[in-house]
Amino acid sequence: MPAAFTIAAHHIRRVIRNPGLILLLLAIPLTLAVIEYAAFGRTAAAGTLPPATVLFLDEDDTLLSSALPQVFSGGPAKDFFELSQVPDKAEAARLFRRGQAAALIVVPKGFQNAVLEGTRAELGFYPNPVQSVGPEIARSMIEMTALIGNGLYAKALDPIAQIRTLMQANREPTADEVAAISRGFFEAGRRFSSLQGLNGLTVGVKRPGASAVKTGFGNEPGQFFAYVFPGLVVFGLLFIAQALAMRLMRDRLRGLQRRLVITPAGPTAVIMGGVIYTVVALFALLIFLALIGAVVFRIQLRDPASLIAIGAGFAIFASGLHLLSMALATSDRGAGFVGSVIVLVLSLVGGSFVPAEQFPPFLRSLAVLVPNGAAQQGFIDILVHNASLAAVGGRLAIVWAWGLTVMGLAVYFEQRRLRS
Amino acid sequence: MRNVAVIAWSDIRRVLRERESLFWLFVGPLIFTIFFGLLFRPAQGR
Repeated sequence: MPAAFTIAAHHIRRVIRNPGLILLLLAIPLTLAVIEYAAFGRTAAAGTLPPATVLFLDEDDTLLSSALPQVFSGGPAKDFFELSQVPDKAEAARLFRRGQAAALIVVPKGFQNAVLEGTRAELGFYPNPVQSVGPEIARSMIEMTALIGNGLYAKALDPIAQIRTLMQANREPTADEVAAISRGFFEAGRRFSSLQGLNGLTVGVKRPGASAVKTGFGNEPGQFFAYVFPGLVVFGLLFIAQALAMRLMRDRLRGLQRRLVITPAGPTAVIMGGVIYTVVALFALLIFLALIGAVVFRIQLRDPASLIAIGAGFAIFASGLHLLSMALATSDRGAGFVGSVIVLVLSLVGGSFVPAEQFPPFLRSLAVLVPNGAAQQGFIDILVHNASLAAVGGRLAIVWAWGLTVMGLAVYFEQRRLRS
Repeated sequence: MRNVAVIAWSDIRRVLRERESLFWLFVGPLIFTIFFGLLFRPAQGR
């Protein structure tokens, strides 16, 4: 056994002397974490969606149409969008193409006349076809505002009819008529005033314990990273394990492994040296990434014992996976290809690209059965949800079961290959 | 110019004979499309 440690130490020293590829691969989770924070972190921290930009084109150019922007931007959905006036549809199309607007609202010519005459008055709504979320927000906003507008209109039929009569008579209104119209609108507004409660609507939320002052994972960057960083680390470590195992494959192809096997150390020590080298190196890199997460991303490393237990299981799995593909492959290209495909599929299913919480039920149950998904969710449970070792016991068992099985197969097939 | 085309065509044939190329050109995109299609398909009954 001491020979295995000597061989493993030798492999590790070679990696330390030539760490280029490993350092490059280490940068993957760090870079992706920073990019994800830049893309989603601020939104998550604010606890609201970013406002969608909605364009407004006034083709009617009347008193009523010029008042509409204030109606939209003062309504109950005012926090969800920003209104921006455009001179024509060409300008709106230009902003659509540049992705700078979610939708366009058009007040067509004759809108005010249609309202006063009591005929069908329509607003044009054009969603930006290249966006998905913003146009839906804008659609909801215009539907809500139109609903309120129709309700108000129904209450103010009398004063509107009076205005229409005056316009058809084409004469100046008397003081009494102006007063009557004003009174009519005042009465309509009063009948409709119960809806004003919508503006001041607040929902009180009481949370027990210390979390009362915090809502959502995005209130602190540390919590945001505690949610996204484990998946990225797991994803990065799968590729780092491949790079580590590939060095053993190249030793084999260059004849170094054969020369070691015929020494007194023997094949078992050579195989175990490779196993110890990949597992120890991977585990050390996992610890390094965890410390980077704690120092740079302010992740609170709760319950280190549980984190280490899951991390060690995952290091064994990732090492075993690539050692197995090396044991079965005849060339480094073949081993690299098979390893990459397996990592890709595992990363998709395990939730490295999209959090498993967003998966449909059947995929979600599958995600926690694959080792990377179970490890990732275990890390998140500990770091975000403050779960104990007992609570993540199921995930720990899955990671270790996969790790020991795959590593056992890798050792078995490597022994069989060396003996043949 | 003809020589350039012959060399380019030969390179393309050699690349297309490799399993890696075939996977990343045809199978990989299909896997991604099916996976993200399943993930982001519109909810039923809307």
